[in-house]
Amino acid sequence: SSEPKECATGQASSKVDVIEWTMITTWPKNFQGLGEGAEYLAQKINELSGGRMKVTVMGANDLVPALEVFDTVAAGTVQMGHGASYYWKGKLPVAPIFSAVPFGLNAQEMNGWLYKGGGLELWQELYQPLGLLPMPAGNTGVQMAGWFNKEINSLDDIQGLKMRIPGLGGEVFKRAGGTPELIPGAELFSALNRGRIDATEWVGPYNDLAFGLHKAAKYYYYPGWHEPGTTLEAIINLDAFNALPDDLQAIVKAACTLANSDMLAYFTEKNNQALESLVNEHNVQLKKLPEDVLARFEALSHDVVKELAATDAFAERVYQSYSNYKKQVYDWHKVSEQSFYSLR
Amino acid sequence: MWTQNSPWNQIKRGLSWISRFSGKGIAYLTLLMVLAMFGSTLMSNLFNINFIWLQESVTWIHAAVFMMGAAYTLQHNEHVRVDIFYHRFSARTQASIDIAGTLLFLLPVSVFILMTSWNYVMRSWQLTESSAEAGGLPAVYLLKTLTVVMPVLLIIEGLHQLMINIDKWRASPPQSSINKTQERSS
Amino acid sequence: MMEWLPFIMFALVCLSLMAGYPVAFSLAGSALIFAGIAVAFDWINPVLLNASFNRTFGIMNNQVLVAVPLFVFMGIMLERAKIAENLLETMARLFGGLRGGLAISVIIVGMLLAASTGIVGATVVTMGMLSLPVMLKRGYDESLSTGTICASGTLGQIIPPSIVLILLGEAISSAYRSSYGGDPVNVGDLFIGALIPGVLLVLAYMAYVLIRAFINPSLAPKAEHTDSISMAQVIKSLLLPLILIFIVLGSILAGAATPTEAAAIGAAGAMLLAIVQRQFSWERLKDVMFSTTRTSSMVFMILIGASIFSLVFRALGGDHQVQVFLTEMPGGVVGAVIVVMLVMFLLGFILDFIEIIYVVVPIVAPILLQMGVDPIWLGIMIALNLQTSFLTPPFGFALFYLRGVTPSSVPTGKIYRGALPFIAIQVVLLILLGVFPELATWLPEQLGD
Ligand code: NA
Ligand code: NA
Repeated sequence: SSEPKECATGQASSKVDVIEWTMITTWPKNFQGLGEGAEYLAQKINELSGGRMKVTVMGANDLVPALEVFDTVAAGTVQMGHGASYYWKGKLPVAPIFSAVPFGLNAQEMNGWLYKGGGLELWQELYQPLGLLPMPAGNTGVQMAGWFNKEINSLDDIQGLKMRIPGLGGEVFKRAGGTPELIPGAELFSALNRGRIDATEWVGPYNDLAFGLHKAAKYYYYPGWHEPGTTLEAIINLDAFNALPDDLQAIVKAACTLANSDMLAYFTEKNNQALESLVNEHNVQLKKLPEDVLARFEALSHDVVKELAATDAFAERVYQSYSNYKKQVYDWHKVSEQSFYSLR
Repeated sequence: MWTQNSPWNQIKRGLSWISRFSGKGIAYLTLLMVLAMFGSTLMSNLFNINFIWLQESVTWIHAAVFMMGAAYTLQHNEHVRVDIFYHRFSARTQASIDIAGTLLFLLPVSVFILMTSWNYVMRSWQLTESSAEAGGLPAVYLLKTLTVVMPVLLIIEGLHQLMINIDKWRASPPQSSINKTQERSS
Repeated sequence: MMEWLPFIMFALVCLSLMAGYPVAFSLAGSALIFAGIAVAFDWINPVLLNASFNRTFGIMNNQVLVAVPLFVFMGIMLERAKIAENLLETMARLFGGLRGGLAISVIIVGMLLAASTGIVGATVVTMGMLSLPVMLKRGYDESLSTGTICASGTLGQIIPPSIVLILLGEAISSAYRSSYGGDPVNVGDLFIGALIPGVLLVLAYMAYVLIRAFINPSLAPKAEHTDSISMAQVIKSLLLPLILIFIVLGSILAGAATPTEAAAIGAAGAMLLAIVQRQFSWERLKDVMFSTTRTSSMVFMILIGASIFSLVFRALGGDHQVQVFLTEMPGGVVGAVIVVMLVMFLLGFILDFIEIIYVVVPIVAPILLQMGVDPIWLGIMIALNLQTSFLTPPFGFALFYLRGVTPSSVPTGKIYRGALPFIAIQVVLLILLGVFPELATWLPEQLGD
């Protein structure tokens, strides 16, 4: 491919062709944390490339609906997307492992597995036949279990509980006796507020406060057992990526890594402020899910995640890599992070 | 001009049958859609039971109905027109507009939808794409296939409409007198 | 030149619609022709047009819009099973002894019918066929009759539940989501927000009719001999449909059901009502299913056509141009809202509700919302504004449809004159709503917290 001509002198700046990319996202354009993260990523690519690239962000529904991001980037309609791999479970059943699985790895551990433990290679191998390059590009940290209008004192209270909880978490919840509901995003607030559902999960304090969920429900339960450190993805059309010169390819990848760590830092900061505001200003009742409920969810989660491995040989490899890493890192983190946390 | 069994009329009948059969066939599902959604609502509110696949199948039926019904609707001339002027035109002018509209708008749009959908549908079949929801429906590729079926049905009905309007055009005199149009419209 | 392209396209597409070929295909087809020219001149990147598939699939997979065919099913069932007809007949007999009573019945039935159909043409035609002959036979003034029928026939759009409000709610909430992250407005909010303005409108219509009848009794004479009506008759043809509509609306207001679920209750309830009234048969059910399919296809083909149109408009940079135009509007938010309302009012002459919602709202709503406009207020303003547009001579759709079912002995001028007072009522309410947004936003807030 012909590279745009560099201007050695810097002045007589004839035409250096700016490479214009569009990034579509599964979030609304200004969505707290996640949409902001996509914007940050675009901005970093623009900055690091010294203006040789210009990435424009389009939010969900601007060009295509949220859940069409994967197919749209794969088709080459636009060059990149920002989302989360668990949305693509219907196309690639094993994909959720690269974002979040119930009782799985947290943010720090996901980064360990993806960057250093072989996870990213597997992820790229999974998307490669579809013409996509995935990169970690954000992390929410541990999320919250969600907003409830019924108190959960034991596993009995889960029976028949109507909760909007999608994905693998929803499957676990169903097997534990709950009733997962399919409620469109726009209907969610009123559905919870007016009692059509009993509970919903969302993200964490920062997003939940902005959404106003505290106005619709009494209890705010933790921990986010179903999303213990959701990795968000940048997906890049491979043809578009391969057409970039080497240095711009490296810049795009570096910007993703920056976005990945920046979002976690951002959420850490915003979430603790928002939680404080929720508890102290909005008098939200913060509660921990009972032990028997969490124990049941954990047991069921192992089954549900293991079933992902059964889809094909590749899924089996992903599952093995993930669970081996998980076993090792848990042993280490038990004596490091976890024992330290328990001292505080 | 042509006998009842001329190839022209036989083709017309054949094309017409396809639109009618597909449209009326899919229409029966509207009852199923009402009952399924009603049942799902009752179960969810009275017994706290909810089947994601049932809710999804209501959405799918809805999509199938309007996608498969588009050609049949065209056959019944029930796609909204801006008829501020159209209803005052002579039969011959109306036929000309419909011929031009079919050739310039309907057929190109159908071909466009067909072409832009094809790769997505093939990809979905290759991946045997299913719903991303736990307990959702398998075979999302069938739902996506509707984006190919709809334009094909529209092309078939478009050709049918083209033939009908050519007949209409030929049957009405070039200098359609004002009296005649008024007779027809009253 | 480039910045005018999207607007030139908009104008050309509007022109092509005037020829009278079905709107869904004219919208998409003329936009594609324009896109072809733009591609040939290298003005736009053709690959963007691939997104058409993803947008179409998004429409197919949209759970909120499933409410549309369900409400259509309900409306057509109520109509075919003669429930609407019986309702009008019973009301007319109940209020027959009152001066202007027949017109009052028409307004009330229009309001209730509104509950179900909501497609402009269908309601006006139904109302016109059912009530105009009766009114004229009774000696009602031609202008007063046609005006009342036109206005009542368009009430369907603003009185919830209505398909128009569902589509509008979905379009605005999706615009809202793309401007802000949280607390989105939804179809239910719009239904609730429409209640007070809708009721005010109905009351104003009634007041107008009563005042006219009081001042000049010959305009709306009471029935000479009112035949008695049995309680059983009233319950059967009046109370049961009322209960159904109450359940449908109530379940949304109380939060027991989403609009889609309420629509399913309405559709199943309409079938039950038809069975109870011995109006149910396999042939009739088939008729309802076939009609529902055609109406639903008609609506959703427009959505798909409009989505192709707005994709090309966007690819040409149109959304950006509109943004520049509206944000630089003198008078700030107020100026922008007035311009948008004026444009929509004018478009209401050539386009139906559905087309405007899916062509114009996605372009302007995100900008207005970002300027701080309340989404519920905006939705109700749009609904009221378009309803007014459909009543306004010489191009108003409602007048046009009514002309089609009015005997030629009634001159068009009389139909136009009849509509004028109702347009005045509409305009007054629009101004009131503009000055006091609480008329639309207060009730949703009360139910919201
Ligand atoms: Na979540
Ligand atoms: Na209505």
